[in-house]
Amino acid sequence: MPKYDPKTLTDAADAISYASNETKETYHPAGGSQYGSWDASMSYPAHEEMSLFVKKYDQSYPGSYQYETLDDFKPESHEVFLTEDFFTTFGVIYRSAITAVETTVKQAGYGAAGLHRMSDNIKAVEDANITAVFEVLAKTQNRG
Amino acid sequence: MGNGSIALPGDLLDLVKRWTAEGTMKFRWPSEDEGSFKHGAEQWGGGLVEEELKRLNPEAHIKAVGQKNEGPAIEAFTDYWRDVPARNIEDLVSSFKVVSVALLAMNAALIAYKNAAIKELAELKKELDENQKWAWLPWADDENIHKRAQNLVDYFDYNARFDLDAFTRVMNTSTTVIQKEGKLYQDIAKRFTPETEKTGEKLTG
Repeated sequence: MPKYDPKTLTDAADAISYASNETKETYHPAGGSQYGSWDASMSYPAHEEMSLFVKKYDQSYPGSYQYETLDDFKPESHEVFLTEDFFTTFGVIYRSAITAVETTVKQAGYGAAGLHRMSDNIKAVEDANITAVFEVLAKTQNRG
Repeated sequence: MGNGSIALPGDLLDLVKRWTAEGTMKFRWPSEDEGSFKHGAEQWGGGLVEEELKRLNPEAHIKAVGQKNEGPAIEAFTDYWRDVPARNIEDLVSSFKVVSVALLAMNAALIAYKNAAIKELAELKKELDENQKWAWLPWADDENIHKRAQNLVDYFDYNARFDLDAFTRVMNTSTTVIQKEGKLYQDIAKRFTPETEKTGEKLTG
C-alpha cells in the first residue's frame, strides 16, 4: 500500500492556487475579478509596481491618479534628460520581468492542478499520464 | 516630475538659463527625478515582491506532499516543482534584489551629480558676481569683463564634465547589470510556449 494523504495534496494545491490568484489578480478585467467588479482601492500585485514610473495623484477628482511617462521628464532648453536610454532599456527589462513572473505563476498553477488531480483518488499518485505530463514539463521548462 | 526631486535654487536656475541661452554654457541641468530610481529600487527589493513570489512556493506544504505520499506521479511532481517553479521563484527573488541595488546606485549617482552641480554653480555665480562688480567702474572694459565671464563659464564646464563622466559610468554599469538580469527573465519566459501550455492543461482536465 503506497503512502497516500489527500489532505497534504489539497493543502499544497490550495496554498499555491490562492497565491497564484493573488499574483495575477490584476489580469482579471473589471467585473472579472474574484472579488467582483474592480475596486479602485485595491492595489496592484507587488510585481506590477516595479516600474520606474511612479503613480502621480492629480486634483481632478479624489483618488484619481496617473502614471508618469517619459514625457514628464522632457527637458527644457537649459535641461537634459540624461537617462532616456536607461529608461528605455529598463522598460524592456521591466516588461520581461513581469512576463517571467506570469510564466512562473502558470508553472506553479500546473503544479497545483496536478496535486488536485492526485488528491482525488489514491490511484492518481501512480497515474502514468500525470507522471508523463510532469516529466515533459520538467524537461521543456528546465533552464538547464 | 515627481515630488521631492532636487531642484536648482532660483538664482542658479537663472544663471544656467542665461548662459545656456547665450550659448556659452554647455552644462544642462538633469531633468530626471532621482526619486523615481529610489521608488523603483524599493519596489524591486523592498520585500513585497519577494513575499508575493515566495507565497507561490509554500515550502512546508510541498515538503509534506513528498513525506506523506508515494508514487511515480508524486516523484515527477516533486522533481518538476524543484527544477522549475521553485527554482524560478528563488532566482527571480535574488535577481530582483540585484536590480534594486542597480537602481539605488542610479539614485545615489544622480543625487551626487545634482549636488556637485549646485555646489559648482554656486561657486561660479560667486565669481561671476565678483567679475561683474568691475562693470560699474567708469574705466571698466565691458568686452574684457564679458570675456572673463565666458572663461569662468568655460572653466565650470570643464570641471562639470568630470562629474558627468562619473555619473555616466554608474549609469553604464547599472544598465549592464539590469541587462544581464534581463536574460534570466527572457530565459524563464521563452520556455513557456503554446506547446507547453497545451501539455500543462492536461493536468487541469
